[in-house]
Amino acid sequence: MKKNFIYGLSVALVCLVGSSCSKFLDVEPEEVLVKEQMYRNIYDADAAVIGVYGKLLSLAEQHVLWNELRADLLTVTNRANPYLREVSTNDVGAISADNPYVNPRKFYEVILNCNDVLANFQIMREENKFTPEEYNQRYSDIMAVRTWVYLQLGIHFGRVPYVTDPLEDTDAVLDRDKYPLLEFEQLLAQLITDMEAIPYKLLYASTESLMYAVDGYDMERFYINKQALLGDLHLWNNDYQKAAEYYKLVMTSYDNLGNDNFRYDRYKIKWAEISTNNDIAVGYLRYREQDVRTLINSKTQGWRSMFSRTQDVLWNTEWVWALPFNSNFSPQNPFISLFAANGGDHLLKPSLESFDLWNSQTQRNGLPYDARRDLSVSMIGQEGVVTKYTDEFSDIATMLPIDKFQRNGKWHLYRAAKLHLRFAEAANRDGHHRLAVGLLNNGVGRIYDDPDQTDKTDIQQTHLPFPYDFDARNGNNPHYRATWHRNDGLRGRAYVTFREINPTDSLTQVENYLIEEAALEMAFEGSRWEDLLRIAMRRNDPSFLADKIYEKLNKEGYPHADAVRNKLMSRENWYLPFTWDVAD
Amino acid sequence: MKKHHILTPLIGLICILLLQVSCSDPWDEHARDNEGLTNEPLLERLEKEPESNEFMKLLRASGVDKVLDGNNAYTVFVPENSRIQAVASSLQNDAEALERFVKNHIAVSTHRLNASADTVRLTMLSGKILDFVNSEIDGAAFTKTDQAGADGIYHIITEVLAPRQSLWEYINEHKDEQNAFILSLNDYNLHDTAVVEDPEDYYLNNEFLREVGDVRDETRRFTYFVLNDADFIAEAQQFLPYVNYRNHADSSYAISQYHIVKDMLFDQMYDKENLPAMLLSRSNVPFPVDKSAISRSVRLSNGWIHFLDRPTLPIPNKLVDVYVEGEQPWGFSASVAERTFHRVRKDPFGELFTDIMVQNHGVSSLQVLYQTPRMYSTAYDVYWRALNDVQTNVFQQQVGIFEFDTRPSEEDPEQEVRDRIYVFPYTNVEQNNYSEVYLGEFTLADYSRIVPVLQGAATTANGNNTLVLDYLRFVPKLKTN
Repeated sequence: MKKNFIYGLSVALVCLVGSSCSKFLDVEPEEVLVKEQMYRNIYDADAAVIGVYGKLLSLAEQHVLWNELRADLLTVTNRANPYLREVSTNDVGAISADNPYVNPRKFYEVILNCNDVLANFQIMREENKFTPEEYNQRYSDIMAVRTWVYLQLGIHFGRVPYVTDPLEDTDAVLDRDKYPLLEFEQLLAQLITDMEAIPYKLLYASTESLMYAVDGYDMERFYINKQALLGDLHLWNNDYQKAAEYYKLVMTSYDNLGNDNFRYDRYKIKWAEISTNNDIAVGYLRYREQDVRTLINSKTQGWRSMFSRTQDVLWNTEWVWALPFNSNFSPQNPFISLFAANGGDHLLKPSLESFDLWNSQTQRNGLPYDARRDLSVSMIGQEGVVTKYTDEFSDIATMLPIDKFQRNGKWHLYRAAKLHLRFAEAANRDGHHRLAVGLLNNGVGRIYDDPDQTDKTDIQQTHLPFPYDFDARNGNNPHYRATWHRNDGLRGRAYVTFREINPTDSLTQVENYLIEEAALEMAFEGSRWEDLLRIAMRRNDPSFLADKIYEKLNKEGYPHADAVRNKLMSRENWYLPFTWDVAD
Repeated sequence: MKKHHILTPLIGLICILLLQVSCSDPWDEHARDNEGLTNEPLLERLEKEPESNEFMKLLRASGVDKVLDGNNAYTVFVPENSRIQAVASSLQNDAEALERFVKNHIAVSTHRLNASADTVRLTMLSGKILDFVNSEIDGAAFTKTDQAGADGIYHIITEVLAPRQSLWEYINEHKDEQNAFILSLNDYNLHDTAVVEDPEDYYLNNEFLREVGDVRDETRRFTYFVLNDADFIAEAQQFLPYVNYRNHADSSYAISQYHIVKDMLFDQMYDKENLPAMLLSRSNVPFPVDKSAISRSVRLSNGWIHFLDRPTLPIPNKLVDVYVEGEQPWGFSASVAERTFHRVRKDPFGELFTDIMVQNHGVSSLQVLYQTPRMYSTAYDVYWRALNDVQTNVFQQQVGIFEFDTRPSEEDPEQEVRDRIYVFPYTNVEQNNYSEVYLGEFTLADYSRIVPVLQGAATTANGNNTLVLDYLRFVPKLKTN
């Protein structure tokens, strides 16, 4: 009897433990795809690829916070919560354990998703469920996505576990015995091995089902550019020749496709159309360049339009990789809440340091600031509002939402300007300062030009082997219109005065100018921290990074700016704490 | 044995039931928060409060108690009985004053004691605004706080809150020379081109209220200085030569008086203790403060008045430079909008400035017209800053000064023209010169607005007929006689 009583009591206790309220509602949905039903044919494989990209979109917010808010061009408004402030301050030792913005878990969810897809692709291939060509393209694409995510993790955490198993449980990644932490250099070597081994490095062939337009989106620039990623990996690895080779392949990837305008315009940083302003250059109304009121500040013309125009001919000349957010699909656009002042929460704003950078430039019409300032930022009173992410959402003049339920936008990941600056960085390190300056300043043609000669046969070109072979000849007698003749250089296109180069120390000076140009051109687009870190590591000079963060914090009156600078002088303080709370 | 098998699930069931009972109900907790608050109306609570006996008498007598009818929530600041007794007799025979007095102790909505150092500006039912800060209201301390009723809250305070006059009410009651002049502006227009009277607000016809400061406004804070009668007359006489209005003695004298009072009002509120050494008037005149010249001061609901026993503002301070900004033109002699450029430049000190440039317009002697506010009748030194930085040649331009008012032309009476006052010669605009260039001196005989005109070279040749201007600066000169 006693025994039975104890037995009964223990059953009761078990009931008690098991009866936490929420679990009652935890019913498995009925319409679920069993694992065996996926990966049957090419259409399942395509769905898996799109699924990976859908998941990748959920990293957009953290990607921009890590690469911009941590760096010197972006800061928080006083509406931001303390977690965002921690990211901005960059004192990694003082970051709260529960800060959701530095949690790398979502990144591993994408990685494990990729691992699963890759493993299943291999099974499909073995079972002959799709052709070698179909397999090669899809497998390489997903491998590139995984590599890109790993590179981001490496940049921001320094030491991360490298997992290639298709784990069901994301938290298993934290098992240090099974997955030891890899140093950044080891990780980089591994990623380069992975990427060099992929069987297919181009975009999907235009005949592939994945290239069909979906919901009005042209899919060509939807997928990661593997060659650009390979260029980046080799640039991080200080293998300049290799980096330049891959970048050059991207720059010229359309040269033999389509018509002459593909060859002259795509990824060439094309000159401004000064009479029509139908371009993506900084410009003013013709013959009224002296009048500040005639700046082309529009969503259909000029430099600003590249961030909001539809995927038309001009858009295709600039963008290498951009992922769309659409109100009709999940996930929702995170940038409107972060940046918009009306219809959003305006949590982030341009730093005073970013304004100082733009204000230290001079335009070619004499205006004492860079017009990209006014095309990237609007002002509400004394406070700046980043507009690059919200031009599809808000009106330029009033800054009010055009339709507050249409929250479309894009995650701007890679464009021609970044390509040119990184190619120039590699070329400069590889001893080709002049070419780098040409791409930075006023174009390859002009820097190799002799204005006194009308015969351009032997000038306006580099006379160098691949990847430094640029022919920019633009002559009338004899007639030349070479591939690069429309290249205007980044500062040429941005209508700012050209950099004077000191011949005795071109290497460092040019590199500094290239990194600064990236700030002026691509502020808030998610590559600033990468740039600062890469140069600091290459030069083994932490102050390159630490001083810039100090400038941002100091200019906004942060009292411990000096302490943060001192911490950033040692490498372990560059990295966010790699951990997350394992869900119960 | 079988009996116990029934017992087993039973115990489990009881446990589950127990678990559900232990869940708390947030509504119960919410209701408990309000425990201890009385549901009595505010008036009933006040009746029971011994320290409010005297105030309640006044409240009933004034009829203001009907306002506290429960339709809205109010906060009542009740002075102690002894304080009310001290003032009650003075209010007995003046119903209006009594109502104003009572209403000055009541504010809409409930306001708990503000013990922080951040000021809460409370608008009382009287329309006056009192500062509620550091556990004091308008300087009165509290003996009993946060007594809540169903429709409001009351506090017991140690002083009465007698309603103060606003600056405008004070000026209307104390008509010394200076104040009398301000009041005369209600009906008298200083200039015959005065704006049409505002039918909504008769007093805005008064130039002092309109241009210098609306001293009726309880939400604003002022510091106002008053000269004694003899000094005010003497000051106005001394300034008369600078405001010669059409050689008309009376009008000129009124304008001179206006220019004395316009620099006596300031937009901040300072008691004598805290007055800074220098104040800046609305028209940018630096006013030196000499505390030893202040004979007495009066606290008002929206400011302080300080009485001066001697004038402290010397004439040279009143002669402020007049700037005409190039990028704010009033008109052009030809349509050149397409060739008019607003530019931004950085001077050698790193300061940004905006200027105007009219270039490649193909018009000979192109004119850009500007306008100024009324300027004193005296001599002026004139400077320009004009930056010639995008052309490789030096070009010339000139400045002419014209009357603002037009009159019929002598040749063609149908046509209205402006008479020329003075024309400076053509002057070179040298390249990359960021400094001011001295153009010369001219004399303005009449107190009036003027039209400065920037004129390009008499040629249609582009490059030579360019016009550029950052600003013109007019420096008024002291009259010596």
